[in-house]
Amino acid sequence: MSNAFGRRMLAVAVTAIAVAGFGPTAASSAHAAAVTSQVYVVHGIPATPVDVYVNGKKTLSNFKPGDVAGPLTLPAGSYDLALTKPGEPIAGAILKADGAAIPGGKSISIVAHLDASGTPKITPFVNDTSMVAAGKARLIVRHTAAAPAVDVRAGGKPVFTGLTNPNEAKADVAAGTVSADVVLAGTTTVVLGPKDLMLKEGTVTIVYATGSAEAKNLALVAQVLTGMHQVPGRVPSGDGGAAATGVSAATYILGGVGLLLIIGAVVRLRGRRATA
Amino acid sequence: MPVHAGSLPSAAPQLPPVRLSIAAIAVDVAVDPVGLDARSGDFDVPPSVSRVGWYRYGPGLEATTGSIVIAGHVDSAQQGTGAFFRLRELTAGDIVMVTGQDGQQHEFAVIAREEYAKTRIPLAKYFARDGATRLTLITCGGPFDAATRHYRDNIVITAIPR
Repeated sequence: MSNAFGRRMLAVAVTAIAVAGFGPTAASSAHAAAVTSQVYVVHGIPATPVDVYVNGKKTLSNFKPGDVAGPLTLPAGSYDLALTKPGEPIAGAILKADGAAIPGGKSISIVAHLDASGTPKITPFVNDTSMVAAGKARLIVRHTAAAPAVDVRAGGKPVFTGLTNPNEAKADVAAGTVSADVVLAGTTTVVLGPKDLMLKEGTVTIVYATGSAEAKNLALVAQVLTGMHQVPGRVPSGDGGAAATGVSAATYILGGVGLLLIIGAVVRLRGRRATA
Repeated sequence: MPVHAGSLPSAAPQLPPVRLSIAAIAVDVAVDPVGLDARSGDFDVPPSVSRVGWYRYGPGLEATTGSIVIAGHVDSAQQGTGAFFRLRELTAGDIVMVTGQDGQQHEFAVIAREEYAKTRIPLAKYFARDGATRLTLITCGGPFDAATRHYRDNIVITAIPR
């Protein structure tokens, strides 16, 4: 598969070079070639290991239910996806999505799962990887199971209600461990869980409900994306001036008068400390 | 392409540091868990210059990756010399002892001392959650602007587990 994408990238690069010197066109072509997405593949179809093909090339061998693969860096574009039983030719694919559009500059999870009635399908989700505020974690829940509408509860309280296949609900919540379960929408009939979820500060945790209620093989699959944490703006840790090294710029700018003022300030400071 | 089981995330509970000792510069201080100043988004260094602050949103002593950050005052106009007044004197090989909330001591060895203008310091690197486990100590330093009462620079000490 890397060869196929290599050739594709090469073709784009050659085009960009061929039009170089013609002004904005060259620049915009080069820019388009640089727009890639981080792509993950999530397997949510019970009891069905598969080989995964992207544009006719085998990308994953014997990919198991409940596993998460990636990231794969893909240029924006249209891709043909196919799943086969392990070792079988692509002509006998059990599931196909031709012309799947991958936008640029995103984090994307492509999920093989059952629809609400139990038929296998492929659904791409764009992951919200925007920054998470300090102290928080983002929880995204995706209904990708052959099951009716559900509510998701944390600590026994509904946090997402009426979630249906193939949709998601999300919230930024206080980081830490929560006990979560899934109930039939509007009821207290637990269909999954409760399970402890460790939501780490500044990360995105995506939980997929997979499997089939009828076949009694509902399961949770999780995917964690990191690096969305906030960084302090500054670390202000001193306003005394007693540890100053080098010569202050202010000394140069203000000259002798400034220097006298600084000395005056130090004297005042010393006076205050002596009386403190 | 890497493949892993999509098991539910679990992690060791955070182990906050409670005390910091650096014999080389006669430091032995309490460590408070701190976050960000709600208004400015700045590191919320403890107001008392004789205490230092651990960034509680990042890794604690349980860390297997990333940067454990402790920042403290070099000094203050009101309170005088701070806990990290002599931080800049540390050199490679100096030992930093950090006591966890569980009473266990964790020993680190200094590997780097850096000084950056506050406008250019790569804070994302020092507050990273990934990369090798390390202890990052931060204070102020460099030239002092008496008009704004600000130091120009941050002093950053990096230490690794021994």
